[in-house]
Amino acid sequence: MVNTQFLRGFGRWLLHWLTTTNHKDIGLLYLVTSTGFLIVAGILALLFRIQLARPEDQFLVGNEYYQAVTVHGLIMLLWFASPFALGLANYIVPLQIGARDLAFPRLNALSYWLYLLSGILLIMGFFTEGGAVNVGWTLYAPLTSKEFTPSVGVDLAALAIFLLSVSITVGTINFLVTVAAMRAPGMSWMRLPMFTWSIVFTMILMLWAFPPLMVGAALLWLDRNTSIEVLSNPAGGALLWDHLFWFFGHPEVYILLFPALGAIADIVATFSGRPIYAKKYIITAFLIATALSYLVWMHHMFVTGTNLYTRLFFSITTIFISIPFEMATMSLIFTMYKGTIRFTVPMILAAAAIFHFILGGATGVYLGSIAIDKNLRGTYWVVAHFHYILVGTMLLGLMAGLYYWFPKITGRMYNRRLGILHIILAVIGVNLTFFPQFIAYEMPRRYFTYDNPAWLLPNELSTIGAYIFGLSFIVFLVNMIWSAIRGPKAPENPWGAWTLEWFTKSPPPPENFEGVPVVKNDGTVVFVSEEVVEKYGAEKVVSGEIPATALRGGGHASNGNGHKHHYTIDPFLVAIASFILLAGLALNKVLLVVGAAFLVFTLIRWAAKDVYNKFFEPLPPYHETWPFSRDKIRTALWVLVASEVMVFGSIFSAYFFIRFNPVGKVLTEAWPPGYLIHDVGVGLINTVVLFTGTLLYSLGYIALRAGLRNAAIAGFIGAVFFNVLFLVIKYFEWGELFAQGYGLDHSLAMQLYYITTGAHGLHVFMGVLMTLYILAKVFANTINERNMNEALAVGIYWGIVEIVWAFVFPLFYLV
Amino acid sequence: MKAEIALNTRNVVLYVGVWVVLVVSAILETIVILEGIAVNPLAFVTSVAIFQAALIALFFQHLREEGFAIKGMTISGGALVAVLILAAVTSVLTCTPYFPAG
Ligand code: HEM
Ligand SMILES: [Cu+2]
Repeated sequence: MVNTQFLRGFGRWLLHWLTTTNHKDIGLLYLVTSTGFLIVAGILALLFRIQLARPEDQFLVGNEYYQAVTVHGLIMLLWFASPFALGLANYIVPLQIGARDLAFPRLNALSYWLYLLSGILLIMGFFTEGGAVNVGWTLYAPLTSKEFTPSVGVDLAALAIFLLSVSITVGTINFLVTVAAMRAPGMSWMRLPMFTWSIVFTMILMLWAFPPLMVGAALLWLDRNTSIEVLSNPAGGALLWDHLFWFFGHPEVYILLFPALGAIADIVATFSGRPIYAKKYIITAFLIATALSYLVWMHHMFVTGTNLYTRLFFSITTIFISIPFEMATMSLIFTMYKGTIRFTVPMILAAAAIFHFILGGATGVYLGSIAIDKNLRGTYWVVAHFHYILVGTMLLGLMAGLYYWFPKITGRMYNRRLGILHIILAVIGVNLTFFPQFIAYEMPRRYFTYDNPAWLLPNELSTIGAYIFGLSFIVFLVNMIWSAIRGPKAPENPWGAWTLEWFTKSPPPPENFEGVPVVKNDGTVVFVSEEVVEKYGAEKVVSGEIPATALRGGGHASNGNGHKHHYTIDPFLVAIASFILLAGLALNKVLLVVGAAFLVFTLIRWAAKDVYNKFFEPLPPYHETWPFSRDKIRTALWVLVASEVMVFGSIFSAYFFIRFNPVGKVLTEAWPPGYLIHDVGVGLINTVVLFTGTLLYSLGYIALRAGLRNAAIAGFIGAVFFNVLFLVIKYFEWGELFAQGYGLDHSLAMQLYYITTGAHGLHVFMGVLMTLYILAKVFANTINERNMNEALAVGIYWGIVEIVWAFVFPLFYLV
Repeated sequence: MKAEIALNTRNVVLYVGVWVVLVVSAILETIVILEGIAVNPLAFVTSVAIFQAALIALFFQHLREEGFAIKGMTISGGALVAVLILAAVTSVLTCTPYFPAG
């Protein structure tokens, strides 16, 4: 029967995509999914542009309009832009550094599924009573409180953002470890292509920008569903949200921008026929911008009643932050100026993006002045400013990247004529949509109607421009799909480029390269077999001190080190379980219980395979270790620790903010010293209990290293015992406090106590699970020399749990 | 083998030593606060906590054996937390209670 055959084929196809962990597959999934989100958010924009084309129109008004703008903004920034860049990064970065895959392929798949499902969680809001989230993408408090916006759409948005933050954190760890530890021999940091560099900086930004957002989202959910009112209290809750949100929000704009700039830099270099001009400076510029971008967030709070001197500091840093971008732009322009330009589609598009970048950046500098911003805040000037950069630079830059790598990804060429048509329409579209908005700079944003006749013409033009841009996108999509199927076959290196991704087939085979790519000291690339690397050592191969015969014929990757194709359904299942759990949290208690049970089951399933080292691979001998010593898992844990520092740092920022806020002292009762509320003795005993748990874990680890199996088991069991004891004591402590009337309703101080100790307790619980995993491995005798570092990694995790408590105890129990 | 055992014994002693310092410092800070000795209790306990955190990171987490990049990353994370807290706190220090009419 044809039918069953078709079904079987479809089943196999589906199973492949559900279980793949190959970075190229995941990259494609990201690209396709994010394009889907782009279409959804784009349609929303076209709808509200119809409404705005005429004064006092009735096409899309009130709540519907608010839903459309809010979801448009959230999806474009969080579910389209970064993930689209991540799609390119997934595909290209391992190729550019000469690796066979990312450091943790299964975690990569997990990132993807969490991302997809978090987006669905957000969109589900449209199908609930009251509709999707409708409070503006910045989710300002107290509008988000249950009192003012009761609809469940806001809860879904908070949970969706939380889940996405988890996905992003996992991805951050993965990419940073990959670039640090998996580069091919001879691929030094300075030789990394600009796109890979831009991804490194993007990841560093994500690492510390997303934790405050994640904490903010959790606080928002708690605020709406319990009697916690950290965000909705009238004594500064709104300002606290501003701080948390914009500490994420400003770095986020660079998170969006960097990958596009990186792609543009690679394109400009290739089609100018010369390496990027002053590469060191452009990297330095990225570094400065990364550091500064954490120091400017309060320019989004210039019109709040905050301390003038604090604002002044942020006004100055904001004006400084344009300098590194001027350096980067100049470097790009010089590269073109010094080279011989080939006007291919990606090159022209990249040039257009640079042009828009200059306009968008220049208009942002005005906003950096407190005096000017006072008048422009909340107007279409701001809208035009960031859309020039988001659409004109970021979207077009990433599209240029897609054109550029299209032959590599699909093995076929795009259609040049359609490409040029796309560019012409897109550039007209961007400028016609957003330039008039500079002219209507007095028009307030986020209103669904206006009555000033002077704003009619700019709005008409803007709407026409938006539809032209939509048309350009259809041309682009048709080109991509049609060319992927029918386009002429592309050679391996159609552009004559010199970065590593062009040194393999188009599309690349699952293991990426035949043999190990080696960048020699003189910059040339050779391929050798792993046996050769092993025999002579990576250094000798890089310096060319090996017999020429060893190079001949390249040679094959003998055992596919660092890349066995691990198909597994686990990441998908874990993501589905998390999705059900969070959906249940917003919608239905039964779902919640089912999701939680399912999550436990899927996590055990995943861990059980690792107990038996099912995916264990010996590392290739040539792996570079600088600057990260030792292995992937240990490095990964340190990156996780760095992100946890910011998670708890965000929670503590709420603590200090509320404690020092003079308004809070008047409106709420002053914060009483901890020893008046808490039983200091119990707190101190619990502190010692926790410290002892960590000590025993460390002693167990030493025993494990020394081969003393029984002592190791004793140490780990002791660690589990003391940490469980800690949780039990905590449980009774909470019960006692509730009984004495120190519940959530008591005060902001008590609410923060429960939030902080709750988050900490959750971490203790996760640490117990990890320790049980290590214990299982000891019992199963599957710990070997290399995955010994898993045990060390759990120790590093216990360290951060202990460190957090070193702050929690005195800050809550004593002072 | 002998050297390894010696090394392990040294590590055990070191770990237990760090644990003793942590426990003693927690007890001492409790006494200092309850007796009202500290001039600025908040600053005092924060300093003690930073000291304890450094001990834990350097010894239990073996931060001293890690390379420059990991040390830099950990310190940068801590520094950013400080920036967030300082900015958030100073931004509201001058706020005055404001009650809209009605
Ligand atoms: C050249 C350096 C830049 C400067 C000096 C700058 C400055 C500013 C300032 C001061 C604001 C606040 C305006 C207001 O709300 O009244 C702002 C808003 C914004 N900027 Fe920029 N910006 C720059 C670059 C960028 C880039 C590269 C992006 C995006 C990739 C971006 C995206 C945004 C966004 C999204 C907002 C609006 C936030 C909102 O109110 O919803 N900016 N910019
Ligand atoms: Cu900003």
